[in-house]
Amino acid sequence: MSQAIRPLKNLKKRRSQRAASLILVIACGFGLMALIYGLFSLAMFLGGSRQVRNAADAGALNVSRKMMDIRVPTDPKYADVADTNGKVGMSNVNRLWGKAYLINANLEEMQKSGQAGPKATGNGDAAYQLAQTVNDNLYSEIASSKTQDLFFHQMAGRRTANMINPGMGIDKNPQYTCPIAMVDRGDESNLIMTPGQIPAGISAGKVDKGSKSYMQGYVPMTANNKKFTFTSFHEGEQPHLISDSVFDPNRADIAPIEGSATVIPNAFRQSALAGNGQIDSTATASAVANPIRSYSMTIPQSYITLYVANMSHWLVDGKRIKSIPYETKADQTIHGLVDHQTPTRVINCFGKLGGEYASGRSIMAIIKALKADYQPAMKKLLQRVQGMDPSYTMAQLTNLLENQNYDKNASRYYIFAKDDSADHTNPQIQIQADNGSLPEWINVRNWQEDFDGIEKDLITEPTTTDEYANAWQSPPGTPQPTAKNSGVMKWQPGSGYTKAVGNLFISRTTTLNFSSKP
Amino acid sequence: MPSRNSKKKTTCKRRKPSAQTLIEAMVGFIVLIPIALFAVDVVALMSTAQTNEQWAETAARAAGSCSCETMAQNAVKNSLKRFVPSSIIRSVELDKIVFDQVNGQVTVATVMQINVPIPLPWMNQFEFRASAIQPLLGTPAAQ
Repeated sequence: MSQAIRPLKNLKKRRSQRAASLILVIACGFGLMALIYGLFSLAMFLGGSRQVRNAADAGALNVSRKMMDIRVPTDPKYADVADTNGKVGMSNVNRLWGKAYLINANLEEMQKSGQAGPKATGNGDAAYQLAQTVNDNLYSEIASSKTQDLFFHQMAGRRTANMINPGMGIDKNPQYTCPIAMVDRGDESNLIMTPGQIPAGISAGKVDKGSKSYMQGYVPMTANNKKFTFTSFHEGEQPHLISDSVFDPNRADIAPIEGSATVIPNAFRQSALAGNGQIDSTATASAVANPIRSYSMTIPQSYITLYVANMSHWLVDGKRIKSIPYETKADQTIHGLVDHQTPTRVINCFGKLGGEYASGRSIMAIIKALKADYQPAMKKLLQRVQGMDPSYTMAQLTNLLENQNYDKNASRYYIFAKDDSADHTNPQIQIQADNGSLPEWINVRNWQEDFDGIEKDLITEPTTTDEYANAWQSPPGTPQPTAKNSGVMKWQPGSGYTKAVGNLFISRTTTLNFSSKP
Repeated sequence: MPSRNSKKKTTCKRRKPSAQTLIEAMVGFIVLIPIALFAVDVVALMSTAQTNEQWAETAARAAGSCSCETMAQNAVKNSLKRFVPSSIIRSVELDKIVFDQVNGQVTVATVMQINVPIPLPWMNQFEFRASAIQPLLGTPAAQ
């Protein structure tokens, strides 16, 4: 029995030993193949994910860059801060708001000083509303998922995730709505400013960087009871990717800017998707935009007027007989009262006028003539000039006024920025009489209509007797004739909405008093 | 005697399967080892292909941050200078650059020379090409 069984056992043993190696080798072969296939698939998936991630990065960067090309038409009132095609985009929207801010800051100062005219409130509202309309039109274009999709596909659509699905392109993730964000809050915008261009009593948020000051970004500031928010753009930076930890806390839907629902965002998030029916790979990327261009906060097409009026009043025994204007030049002898009949006799009255202008005929000399503290006038002028060119200094303004002689044939002088550049970014401050060739945008005929402020005395000059003028009469009288000089500088502000930002009126009076008594 | 015979037979039987196993294992390894070595090459090729794509991507980003073609070419060359050659990847070089200012994009193609870790009988050198497209970020917005 045991012998009969043994061969059978041996046979079994022989079979199993033979198969063992073969099966093991085949199993190892299959195992190895499976391992290779697994590694291959994993490598393909990881490679594909990387491709999707790169596509999302490139797409987000393209969106942040191409958003600068979105432009909307502006209102004619803001044509001087538009681009060369008369449009406003992300790069110059701060410029638009800068002009609106300056207009309203000027208006607030006018209201505080009691110089706001009847048109002032309406002009401030209109300036703000027009800027808001342009801003809202731009916002609706920028925040539109259609626009963002277009720019995303321009870059991501030209890539493939061939490691996941050969030949298939990368798509936008449909489950992702394009969030926008306002990052770098409190940092600089691309709007250069000078503290001196902000009217006294108005506080503007600014960021100093190097030698320049910038309007602060994404920090609402108030002027004339209106909120202004500028978009942050770091100086010297290019559009670049940012992490979710930077983007998320600043998302427009999570942390909106107070009081500015349609503030222009500066960061965009995009999501890419690639799949092969079994596995989907998605990636998101966020990028911050930057126009790599900065502007000065200005009202480019604005002007200041300046004029001088000299009047002599001729009095006999304290009673005004006649008023005669005199020129802005020294040593004018005027025979003011010719054979004037008084109750007791006939007298002839003479005056030597214009002595206050002995130091020169330049506009600066005219301003300084009566030795008053003329600095308030210069400060007013400079603040408004810096509204045209923030880099302009008091020394430059003084030099400008010193080099311009007052022409007796001119009714008034205009200080304005001559700018030959297409986008009004190269101001050259000029002073010119109204009998010259002024730019056509200056309303020379009806200049007074451009002012929305009310005239008020700015500087009252000290009265002097017989210092700058002399009076004499024939025959002589008792008491001796006297000549008194006085003057006042008046300032009529303009907001800049209708281009006029200020009018300096210098009024000089010489009062000559004669006597009828011998 | 029968018991002696039967012992001899058993000894013979015991030797044969051992040799057979050895032979089977050897034959198996002859098949498996080339597959495994080939797999190493495939993994190396896949890895280097992806590395090449990443270098193209990096170079394109460097080019994208420039404002003109000359600067872009220099930026690409500088970025590729950071590559350290190895026994597998011999070199990564700029193949082509298309600086398209009209559409605001730059395309950079790189070429990578590879030595497979296990030389194949018919070839051991490969050349991979990859290109990447990036937006031009260094040009200021229109005035």
